[in-house]
Amino acid sequence: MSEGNSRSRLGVIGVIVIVLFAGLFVRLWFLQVATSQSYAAETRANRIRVISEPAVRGSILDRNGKVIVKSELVNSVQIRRGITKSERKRVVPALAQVLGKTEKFINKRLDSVRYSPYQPVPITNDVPYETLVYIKERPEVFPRVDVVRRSVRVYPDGAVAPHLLGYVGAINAQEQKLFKDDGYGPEDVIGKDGVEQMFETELRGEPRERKLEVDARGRFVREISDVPAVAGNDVQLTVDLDVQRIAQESLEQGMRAAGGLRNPGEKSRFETFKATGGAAVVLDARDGSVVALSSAPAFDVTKFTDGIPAEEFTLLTDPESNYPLLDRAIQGQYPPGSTWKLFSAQAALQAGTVTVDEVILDRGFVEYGSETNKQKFKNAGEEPHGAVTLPTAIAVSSDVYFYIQGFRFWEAFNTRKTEKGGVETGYAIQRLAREYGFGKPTGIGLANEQHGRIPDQRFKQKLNKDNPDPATRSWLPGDSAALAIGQGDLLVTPLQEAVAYATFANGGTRFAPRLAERILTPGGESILRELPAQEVGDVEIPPEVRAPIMDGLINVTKGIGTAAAAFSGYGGIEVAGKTGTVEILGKQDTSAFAAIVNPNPANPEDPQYVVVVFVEEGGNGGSVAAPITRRIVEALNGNLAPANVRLVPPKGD
Amino acid sequence: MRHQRAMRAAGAGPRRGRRSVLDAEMAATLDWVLIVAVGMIAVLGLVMIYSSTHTKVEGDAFYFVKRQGIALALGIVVFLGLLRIDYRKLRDFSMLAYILTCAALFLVLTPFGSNANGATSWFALPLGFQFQPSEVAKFALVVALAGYVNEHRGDIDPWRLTVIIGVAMVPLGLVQLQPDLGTNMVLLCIVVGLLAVAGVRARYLLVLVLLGITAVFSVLNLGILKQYQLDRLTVVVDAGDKKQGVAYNQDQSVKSIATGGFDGQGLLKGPQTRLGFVPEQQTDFIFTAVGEELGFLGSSLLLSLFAIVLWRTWRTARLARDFYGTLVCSGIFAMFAFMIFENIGMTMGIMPVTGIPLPFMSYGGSALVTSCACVALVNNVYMNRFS
Repeated sequence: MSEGNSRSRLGVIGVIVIVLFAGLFVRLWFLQVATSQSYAAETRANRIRVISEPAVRGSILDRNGKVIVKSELVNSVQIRRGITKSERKRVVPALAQVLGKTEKFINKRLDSVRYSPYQPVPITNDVPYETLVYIKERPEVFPRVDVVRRSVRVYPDGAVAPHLLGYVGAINAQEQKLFKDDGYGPEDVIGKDGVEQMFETELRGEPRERKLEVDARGRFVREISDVPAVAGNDVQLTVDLDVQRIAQESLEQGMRAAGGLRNPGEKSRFETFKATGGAAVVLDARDGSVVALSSAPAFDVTKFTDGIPAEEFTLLTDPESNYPLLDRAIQGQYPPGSTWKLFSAQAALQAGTVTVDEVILDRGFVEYGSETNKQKFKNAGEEPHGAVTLPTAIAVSSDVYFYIQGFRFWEAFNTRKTEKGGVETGYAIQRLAREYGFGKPTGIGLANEQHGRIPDQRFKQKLNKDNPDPATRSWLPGDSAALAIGQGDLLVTPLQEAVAYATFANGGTRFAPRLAERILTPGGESILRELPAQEVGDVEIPPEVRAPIMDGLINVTKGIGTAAAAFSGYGGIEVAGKTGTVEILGKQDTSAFAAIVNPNPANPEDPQYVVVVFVEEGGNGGSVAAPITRRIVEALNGNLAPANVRLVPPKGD
Repeated sequence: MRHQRAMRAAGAGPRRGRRSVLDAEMAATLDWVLIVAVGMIAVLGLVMIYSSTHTKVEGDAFYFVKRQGIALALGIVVFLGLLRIDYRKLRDFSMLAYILTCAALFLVLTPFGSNANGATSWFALPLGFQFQPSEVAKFALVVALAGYVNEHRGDIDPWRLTVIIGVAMVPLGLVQLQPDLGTNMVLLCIVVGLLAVAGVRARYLLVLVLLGITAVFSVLNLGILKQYQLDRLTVVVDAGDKKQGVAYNQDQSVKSIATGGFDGQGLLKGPQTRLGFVPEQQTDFIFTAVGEELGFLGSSLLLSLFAIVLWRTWRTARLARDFYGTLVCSGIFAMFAFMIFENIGMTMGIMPVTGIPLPFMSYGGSALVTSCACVALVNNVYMNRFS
């Protein structure tokens, strides 16, 4: 073997090593110069932990400044992290005894992954002062146990409007994902439902944010920054707490009373009304402000302040409890029944299919169809009302009068008759309904508001697209007739109905229901921002159309009217209204009433309210919903005594 | 000229006993480029060990640095001592070094040895010091193999090749019993490097490499390796779950280096290093501290220093007066080259994770002293290149 061979071999090895080193240089360049930035964020996340402590949540006030909900500091017992095994063995039984909790409960909390490993674990709130002192005086018995002040939601007047207010609860995984950018951590609380959710960003404030640096084992190294908390703003609602309370009480009272009424529609004389649920809405017609928004059955919102026990939550979601968590004012969808006749009347007058003076003979029923296929459409109980004009038809709630209006619309639909401007007369009611805001959420801002439903041929085609009978897909005379009296496939929410009545009452300006008047600085010291009323639409209501309809509505509460009994002896501001008794297949009638308080104000500034009440399976509108409405109207008149709703016998529908 | 120098070197011989530790005459013949480069790396090593360990031992920020400093001092003593012995004399001790090393490797497996991380690889010494015979085995294998190959220069037939492999297999087998796959890979590299330079026919080398690959495969698949070693070797193959053990280690290591950027986070300021996100950082992952705190500038300076060390070693292999010197330098060259590439490549995520220290940098006395001995050997060959 020659020396030359060795040297050349050495050369080859040298070249190989040069190549390998070049590889190292390239990799080094790639990591540290070319892609360094993308790694920087990753390593930062490695070592920085952000600990946030919630700020004191803002209060919710009523329109007069009364506190509905506020945050209060309570004594909370918590166990610090870093408790040793032997300490834990001693502390847990001792603490369980003092607090009246089980050891299992405390251990479960300590081991729960829900709580941050850098924060103390809360064991219980609302510790009596003696217990606080007992624990604080015995650090040797309770090592690493702290009694601290913690903020919780407090309801000074009790849970008056659980649906409207919503509640505050521990953030769930889905919300955490959704609001990650707003700095919510796994142990944060968040407004759920209602006003608490709607105004979450105002009420929450800014949490104290501590940035800590930790080492590879997650141990604290140093504090990088500490941004103090900013308390949440107060929200002043348009709601009048007194009216709200009476609305809720009246609704529940009326429902209980309906439970004792015999259902005349049934054969069995022992069947009474179930009154499974109801809603009451009070709006200020001048600007759409929500004065009260009630739903029944209700639930005790105070149970949610520190996490509701699972068994109680199960009870709340049990169908047997009639879904108390459902906010029926915005989520309940009902056919409006005869309360709808206002809109049918306006549509007919404006389409020119009827005049105010046209007299129609109401014999208690009307037949429609060809000679061979005649259908009979009846009043409630086939009660005849005789010769009626439009105002009377509204006051006595003549179905026959409005069936006939429906048929006229159907004939226009069938012959594609158009008004001037090419608008189809056949859909006049639907078009007007949309102008009044039906068929879509009102824009109140609360979560899960329902749309309601305005039926027409397209709706039927969609609904019955798989039905073998083609007749189910066409718009029939019966559909128009049902729509004219607020029945059939039509669905509205109580809030939509209230908005529409308010729009009619104020002369045609449709406002989005306004829940909050203003945002106040923490503690309510000064006004931060006014939240003005929002006009969302206009309905053209000429005086010659409004006047006769309003006459009819005013007479509902008087003399021959369907709600005369409910309002007998009432002496406050004038009330117009309309009863509704809604037939729903397979269920008892839904009782409805829509009222306009001060229908024709002398000054535009005079107060004018709209009250809408629905009671599911509550029977006759004049008998149940109207008396409830009357009590709420009395509250608007200043009668704030405890509610005393007196139901009256049914009359008409 | 050449004659004169040779005369001077020869003339120095008789007075050896009375010389100071390092006299001017001897100093003039040393490879100062190599020594300065190694010195700079070793000092940087101390600094980086301080950076990555100063918070680890409460009350003694210099705990690791002091121990490494003692090892460095010992390394300098060994270095100076080895300069005094002509490397050609080492040939005569080849057999002895080999036998002693094998004995130590055997003893470490007995209850005399101590266990860490599932491997029995070191002897516990007084004052908490440790001795790792597998590190010294690298040096011994170079000396022993170079001696044998030198004797049979020019006619390494299949039989002699078998003998060489057999000779190498004893320490390799003993190390595998610890088990220490990383050291074995280094030893294999030394064998292949030496044989390549010795002029063994390319096809024999090829067979040898194939045998090596087969061996690695059987080690991987026959359950000879411990699970943690398998994990280390297979993470680069499928780095799926990055939070798991070794993969986590390498992932953090790569990120740390990347975080350094062009000019680094500054000494003692690298968050990953300071907060201990890279496990075993002062030993096998010391390069991550350099990468993070000194950035591309510092890292490439270190790489350049290593390149200088390799270049001087390679150059000395060529300049060596005799074939034995060439072989010794080639073995050391192969050893250093592989260790540096494997270690730095591992920290940057392009090589599998194996327990190979970075020469002169990683915390660990046995490795540092062995490396010093290797540099001394190269210098020995260098200063005797004319005599």
